[in-house]
Amino acid sequence: MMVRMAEAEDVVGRVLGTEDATPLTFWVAIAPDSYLQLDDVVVTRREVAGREPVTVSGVVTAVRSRHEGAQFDSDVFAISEGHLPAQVQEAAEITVTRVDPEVFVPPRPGDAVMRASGAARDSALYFDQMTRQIPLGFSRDGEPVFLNADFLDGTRGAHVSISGISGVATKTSFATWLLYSLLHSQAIGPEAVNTKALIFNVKGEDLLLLDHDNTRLDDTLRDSYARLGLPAKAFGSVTVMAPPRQGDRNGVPDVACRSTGVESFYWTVAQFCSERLLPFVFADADDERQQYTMVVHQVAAKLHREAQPKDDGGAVIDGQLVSSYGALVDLLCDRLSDDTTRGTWAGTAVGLGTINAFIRRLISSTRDIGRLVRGDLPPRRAHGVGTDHDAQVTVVDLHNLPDRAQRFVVGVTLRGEFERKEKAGTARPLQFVVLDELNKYAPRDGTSPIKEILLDIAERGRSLGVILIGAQQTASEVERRIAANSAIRVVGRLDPAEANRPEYGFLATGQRQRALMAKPGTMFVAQPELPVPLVVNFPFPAWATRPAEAGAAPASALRSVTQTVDPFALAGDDEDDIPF
Amino acid sequence: MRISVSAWDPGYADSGERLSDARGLTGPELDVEVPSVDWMPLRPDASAPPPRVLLVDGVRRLDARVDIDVPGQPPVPGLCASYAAGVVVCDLASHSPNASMVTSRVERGLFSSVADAELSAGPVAAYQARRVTGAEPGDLVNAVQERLTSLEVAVAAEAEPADADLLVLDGALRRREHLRRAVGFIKSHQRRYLTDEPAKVVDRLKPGERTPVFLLKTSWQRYTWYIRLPGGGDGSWAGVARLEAAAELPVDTVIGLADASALMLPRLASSAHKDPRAPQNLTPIAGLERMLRAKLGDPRLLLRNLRTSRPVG
Repeated sequence: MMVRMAEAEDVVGRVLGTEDATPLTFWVAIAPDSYLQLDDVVVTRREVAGREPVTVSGVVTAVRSRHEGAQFDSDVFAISEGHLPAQVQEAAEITVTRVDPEVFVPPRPGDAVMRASGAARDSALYFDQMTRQIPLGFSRDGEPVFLNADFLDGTRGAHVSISGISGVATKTSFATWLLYSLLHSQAIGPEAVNTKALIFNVKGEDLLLLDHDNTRLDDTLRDSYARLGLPAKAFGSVTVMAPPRQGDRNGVPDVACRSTGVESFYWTVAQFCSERLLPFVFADADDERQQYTMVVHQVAAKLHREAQPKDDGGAVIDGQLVSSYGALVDLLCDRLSDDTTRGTWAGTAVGLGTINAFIRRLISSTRDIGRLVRGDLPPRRAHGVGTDHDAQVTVVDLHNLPDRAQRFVVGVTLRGEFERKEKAGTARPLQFVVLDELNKYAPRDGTSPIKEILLDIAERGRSLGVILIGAQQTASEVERRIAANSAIRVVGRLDPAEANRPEYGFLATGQRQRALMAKPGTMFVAQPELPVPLVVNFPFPAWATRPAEAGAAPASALRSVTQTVDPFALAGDDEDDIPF
Repeated sequence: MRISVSAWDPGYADSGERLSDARGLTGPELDVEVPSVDWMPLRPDASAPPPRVLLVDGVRRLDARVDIDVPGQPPVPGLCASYAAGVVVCDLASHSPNASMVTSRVERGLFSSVADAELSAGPVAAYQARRVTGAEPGDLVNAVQERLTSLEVAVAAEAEPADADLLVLDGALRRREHLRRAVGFIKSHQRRYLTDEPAKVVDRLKPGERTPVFLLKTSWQRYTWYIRLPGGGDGSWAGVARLEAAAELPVDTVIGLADASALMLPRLASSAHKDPRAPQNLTPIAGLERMLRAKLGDPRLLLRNLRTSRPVG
């Protein structure tokens, strides 16, 4: 027994015999001069009769210490006053991650347990099998932790689900960090250059400065990026899109923290009609319980048929020029209220009550959608939201928009992107979509156009190359099929009531409790290969997350807003020929 | 008439005094420390640095009774016993007071009148032959106790107490007087050595106080004194313990031992809700006994292994 102990490298304890050891979990008594902390990786070996020795590796999921020899709670005073002999004994619970070869035998009490490092640690955490590794951050012991790229890029799985309470769970930070890590590591090779990402910014202006260096970046941080094999810098190629300011006639983007490198997005009235965007105005437009949804689709179809686009983005509908959303609403109200035209717009056999329900909802949307659907801005100005331009990362700012407008933008944008990828017919280059508050867009109950699109992405996106990085406060309120299709599940700090829901069954019991007190920057990452979620500390962003941290603006962002209009675009116009 | 209930659980055998010890007792010599007329409770100087206390104890367990068949002879009874002794050091003076078991020994023996009867119970437990001369049924058990006592002496010697230490042995000091700094700790009282006025001094003892040292003279001689432990109830003999020191020691040394014991032992007294033998069974002793019992091994496992084993010889 002593010989075996001597040949082992870093023995921290022995498998104890007062608790059952199983092939999936066992307890280790820790030697007096050693320690094990949560998330440490350990390895033990045992002989199996007639076979080669089995190596059992695992992760520490619980640690405890107790007085041996004490019978009563008050004995601790007698012991610490020197009256009662007793021994302090620490023990650690190990959740097995890997049994190699796969002979599922329990480790035996008395077997020496070693701290795993180097190749043993890589093997215990399956890093040795990950041919393409995406750095995730550091484990508690300061060693790098990786994600298998196969489960992110659609090779064997796709989609990420990030849960955690607002403010301290750092969900969006982790999502952007994951994107950064993917794009800057060598995991997906040269493809990284063409990979696109669409990020919806829903809270504050946190994500609008992705292309600005972080002034708080110091050598320690650079060193930790270097240890993960990543450069410490801001995102290189970013386009920021923001909605036009409310009531502004020039469509100036509604952003406070940056004045350059930001474009406003909107849809023209003509687009609104020809692309049938009307259903996205109504959050519950596909709900079968609602009668008026019939009218929505009838009207959308009619607009699609009738609208004639005009130069400035407006449209002639039913012989009338419509150059704003308000005018469109007025027109629709007029046509639907008139007995003679109602039949052609809303279809036959639709009750007046249903029509009125539609009108009521339509009118209430004017204020929210009005600034997004325009017919009064210069033609050919770039205005659509999409990733079909040069920038690698497109940030769509929604934080100034009311709820209905947010849904409209997200729904229309996602549909556009999904259709574009569908038509492209190839999964590569990949398209990432980062969307927070998934429980709003894809709630567990009810249906809506956005939810249908998100479900489509979750279920078919892997083959189409559209990867959803969804974040939500409560995974229990998100559509089950979306959560179920996520290969990678990430949990930050959780609400105590939320942590006990079955959606977090992948967390070990101790981890559920730890998730209640997880600090910002600490995430529990579950990936399909590993039976235990890994606890990861991801480094502070190298890009600015708020104006106070922002360094100099990158050159690409220094273009003025008006310069984004192509001065030569006029030359290619066939209708309005060169006047000389 | 006053009847005070001894805190002792009557089920515990007394390892302290035997009535036979007092055979031929003459009157005690009271004038050792103070003249007998000045007898009164004494309280040690509490400002002195507390000495280390070494407590020695042993536990025994009778694992199995066996019958040994030697060819050509009638079956001989035998007794398999496991016993262990250890020393716990209580160091209350250091900045981080602690109590730890510094040494311990475990033995197993097959006690019988056959010289070479040995049994093995599994790979780590072997019952060595212990020859017993007596033929009475109680002789085997007595032999186990004798063997345990000598084991206690062995571990007490191993512990090597320093000059200021107090080595507390369980029970009367008989045949262990040679150990350095040793005092015998007698927990219960089969007979009163004091009568009349001096006996009232014992009644008047407050917790932490002791009587003056006096000398017992029978077939043997020993210095002795009484102390009162806290938690035994006032006025009765329930919280009173008697201590012994070798008669060969200089009187000053004995008084030093008496002061040390009156200073330290009340602190180590156990409380009644935790120990049925409170307060005389000291807390470290109880802890030591638990640790030693754990070292004796699982009795059912040993018994099973004994049943399936064959004699070694």
